[in-house]
Amino acid sequence: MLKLQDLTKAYRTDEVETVALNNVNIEIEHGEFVAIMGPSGCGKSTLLNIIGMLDTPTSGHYFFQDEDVAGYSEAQLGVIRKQHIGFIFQSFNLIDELSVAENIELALLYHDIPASERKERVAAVMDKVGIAHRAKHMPSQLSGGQQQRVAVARAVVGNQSMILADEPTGNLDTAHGQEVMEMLQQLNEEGTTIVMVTHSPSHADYARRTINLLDGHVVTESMRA
Amino acid sequence: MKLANYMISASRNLYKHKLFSAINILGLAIGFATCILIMLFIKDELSFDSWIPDSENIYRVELTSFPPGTRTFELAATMGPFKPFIEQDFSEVELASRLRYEKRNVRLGDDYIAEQIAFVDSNFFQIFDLPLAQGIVDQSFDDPAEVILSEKMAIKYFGEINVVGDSLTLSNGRDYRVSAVLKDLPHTTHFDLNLVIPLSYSEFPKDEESGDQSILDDWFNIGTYIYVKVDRSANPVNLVSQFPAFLDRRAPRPNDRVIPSERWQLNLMPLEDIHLKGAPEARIKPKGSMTTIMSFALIALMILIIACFNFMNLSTARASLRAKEVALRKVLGAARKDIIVQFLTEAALMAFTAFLIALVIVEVSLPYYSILINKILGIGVLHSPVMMGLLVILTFFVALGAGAHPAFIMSSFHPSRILTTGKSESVGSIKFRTALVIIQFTICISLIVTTLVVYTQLEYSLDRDAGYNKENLIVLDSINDPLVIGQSQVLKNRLLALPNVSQATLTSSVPADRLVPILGFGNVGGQSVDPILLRVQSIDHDYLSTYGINMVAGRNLSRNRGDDVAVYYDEDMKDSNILINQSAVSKLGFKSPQDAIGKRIIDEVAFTIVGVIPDIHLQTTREEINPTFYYIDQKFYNKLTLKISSGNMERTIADIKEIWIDLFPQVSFNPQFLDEKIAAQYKSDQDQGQLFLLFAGLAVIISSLGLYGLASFTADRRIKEIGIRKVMGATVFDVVKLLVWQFSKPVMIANLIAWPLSFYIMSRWLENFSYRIDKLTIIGFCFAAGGVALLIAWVTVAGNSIRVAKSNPIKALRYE
Ligand SMILES: Nc1ncnc2c1ncn2[C@@H]1O[C@H](COP(=O)(O)OP(=O)(O)OP(=O)(O)O)[C@@H](O)[C@H]1O
Ligand SMILES: [Mg+2]
Repeated sequence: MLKLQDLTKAYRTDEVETVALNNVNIEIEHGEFVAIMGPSGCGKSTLLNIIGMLDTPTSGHYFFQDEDVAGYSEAQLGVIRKQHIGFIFQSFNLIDELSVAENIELALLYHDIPASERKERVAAVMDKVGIAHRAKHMPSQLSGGQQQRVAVARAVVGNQSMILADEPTGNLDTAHGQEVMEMLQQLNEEGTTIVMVTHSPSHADYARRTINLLDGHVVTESMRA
Repeated sequence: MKLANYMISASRNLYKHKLFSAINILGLAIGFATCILIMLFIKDELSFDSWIPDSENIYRVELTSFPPGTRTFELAATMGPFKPFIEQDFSEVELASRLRYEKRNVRLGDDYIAEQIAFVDSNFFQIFDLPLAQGIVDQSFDDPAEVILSEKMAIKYFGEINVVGDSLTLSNGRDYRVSAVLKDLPHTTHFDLNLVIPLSYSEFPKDEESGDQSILDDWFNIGTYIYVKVDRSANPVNLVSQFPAFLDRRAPRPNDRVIPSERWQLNLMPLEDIHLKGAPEARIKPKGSMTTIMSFALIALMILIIACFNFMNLSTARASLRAKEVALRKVLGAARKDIIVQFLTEAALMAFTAFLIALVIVEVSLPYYSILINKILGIGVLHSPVMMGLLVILTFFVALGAGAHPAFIMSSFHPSRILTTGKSESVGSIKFRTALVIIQFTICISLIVTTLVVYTQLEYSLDRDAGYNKENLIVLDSINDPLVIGQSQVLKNRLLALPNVSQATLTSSVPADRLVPILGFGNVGGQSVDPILLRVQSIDHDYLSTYGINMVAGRNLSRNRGDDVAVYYDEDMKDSNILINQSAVSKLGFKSPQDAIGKRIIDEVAFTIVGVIPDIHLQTTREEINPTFYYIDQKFYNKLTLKISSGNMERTIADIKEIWIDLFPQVSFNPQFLDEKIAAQYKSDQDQGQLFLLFAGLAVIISSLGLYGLASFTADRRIKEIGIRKVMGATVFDVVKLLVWQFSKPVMIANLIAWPLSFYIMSRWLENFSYRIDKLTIIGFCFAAGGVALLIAWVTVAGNSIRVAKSNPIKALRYE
């Protein structure tokens, strides 16, 4: 599905250069469930942002479905991104002024899909994550776990083939965290590629493969039996 | 001590948010400055004549006349012969004095200059205790060879003001000794006194030849102003109630059928009210307009409201950005009261800074503003403690009014929620803010529509087809001067001999002349009728060719026919032939122009209609075309109109002047282009248009300042939302569209409010004009103004929106 080759990312701010990713080589197959772990500041989010095409690498190659997107412009990346990739964030990142249904619909809004079809798909995905009875509520009226379920719904409503999740359970208690992980697992079983950053070893256990990062390097890769 | 702390933290805060503070202060300063300028205008309009000592006991006697068959005339002037009777019959009247203006030519070196001379009774300066620069006014200002000058005139004729005892010579050959020099009257005086000469029979003698009485004894000459000073304890209402009986006792009957009190009504107009409420006709200076004052006051208020709304809007909007600061202060022990005081202090600091900047703006712009409103306004009024005090209080209230809303909103934040969730609570006030923007733009759009309508009507008035060719016409006046009238034909013939003068006509009046005589006819086509009133114009046989007017029916008056020339108001009156215009055809009850030809209308002599000409516009677009009657009467020529064919205009005028001076060295030469004379009638409309343009511009500037501030704030606040949308696939264009739409919506709602409002107001305004642009064009202007407002809103918010839309979404989402 995607392949990172000698990928480096450096941030430059007033003379100081931070190398967030250093010569990273990773390959992820279609349908995989990958967890990325490592101490704070090691470059996990940076890696995920580059995979998600929200950011561009300083050097190296990024082959997405055999297409090298490393040198693409923001607008070109945007087209690929909205086609293939869904996002889940630690802090949910729902829009406070929009209802649950409207937040989910947002992922279809920029896709040239007729309104009636959008409504159907939003309704279907809300059923799937069990949030249908809250469709008209505002995010501030929901618990954290419910908000993250909305975020998951938003990430998959566009039939994205890959979901990137940055610490999706970081703001949730154990029970709610569990729920979200089960949802991700089910999506993976239905064929969605999932790349997830997490600090929790037990949540990493849901993944078939774990990549450990340290100071911008890949240190170990382990496969679950 | 605490206050000092507030001041320091307030000024630091203002400095920290420079853009916000600058927009806020600048908008408020412009608002204040506009308000002050308008207040100066209003104060000036309201202060007419109040500077005259004892003004509250001085009145002008005004006359309302009800001539049959036409409208009522409210005249500032009245009949001169009343004067002695008013003094005799009313014990409350201490003094009564006449004032009559007449144009005379005054010698300056070898030239003669036409001046408006004020002729007054000897007691005039006892009623009006006017300040003198030189000399004294003795009790009896009654020496016919005496003159009082204004300082301006003293400088003009003598080059200095120390001129008591010197003499002025008029074109009648007499010398007048200067007995005093008046201080120039402030422009807030309803009359002009440049050259004052005692009113006497020697100036207005009876006509020895015809035996006609002096104009001073003529009851039917309504051209004299009478002022009275009444006893302090007198009740003017009581006086006025005795006037009908007084009229019947003293005035002659207008005719056999009516008594004086049926035809006329006398009123007392308090001196201080003359400018704004006095009779509209036969005035010395144009009437001030209460409507203008009210609409300016309204505009001042609206502009102040716009500026205050900016203030509230920006402050409230910024509140959510400062939520954390407020929460922290509360956690550290600040009471709600402290937070309120802190924000009010900030508001006050901004308001007073704005006020100081406004004073500077006023000082700098006053000279230009004075030109615009045609008044010399002094900044002096502003320096008076009362005015200053009022303005400071106003500023204080603005600070309180505009600062209170944000202060209370912010002080009500719950620190726990803000600190844990980092979310502001001012979301609910987005509606409030949008409402303020809607009101601002409603005002802007209405002012733009007003400006467009005023200007288009003005354009229409200046450009309309008047029914005659007004190009290249020069008018000479003073034809009725005793030195000129006998030689008017000689003058006309000599001017026609000039190569560039192609046509010339002598007439009693020309287009744009105000006062034109009216005659009533009681017998039309042999039948007795209620008198039908027609405007009277004396012309000669070259009138139609000079003005380029074609006949509708019948024939022009001819120089070869004796019965085409009238003799009227004279011993040997006789019947004659006349022309009438088309409105006179219907007014007189004829079926068609053809039908009128050959019919006779009778006043004291019979006039036979031999020709009909089209209606031509002689007055402003405000007035209807009057039914008019044209005849040839050489005694009533006042003007000579010349048609200039081509060539060098300056050269031609110099040639004309040479001939004039050769014939009439003692009469001033005042050529005027007819099209300029016509345009001059619309001077006040032009000034008003410019003012509306200025106000509309200011309102738009202040509103867009506010919108700009609000947009940059909102964009910052929505940065997270925009980040999410971009992650979901929104392009830069999608985001810009979203933000711009957010600000277009209130402007569109403002349009929906402003359109019907402006349409109603401006179509009412257009009804003042008999000839006007189609009211439906206002709808077009509404769309135009709406479009302009939208465009302004877009330009204002687009820059910010693009900046925000382009920013990388991960930045916005990281620091959540
Ligand atoms: N926009 C930026 N400018 C400069 N430095 C940055 C920027 N974004 C990230 N960094 C730096 O790059 C490094 C990697 O950051 P990153 O956010 O990827 O870490 P992380 O592994 O996700 O940490 P955490 O577990 O705390 O989320 C850090 O040292 C961080 O300070
Ligand atoms: Mg991270």
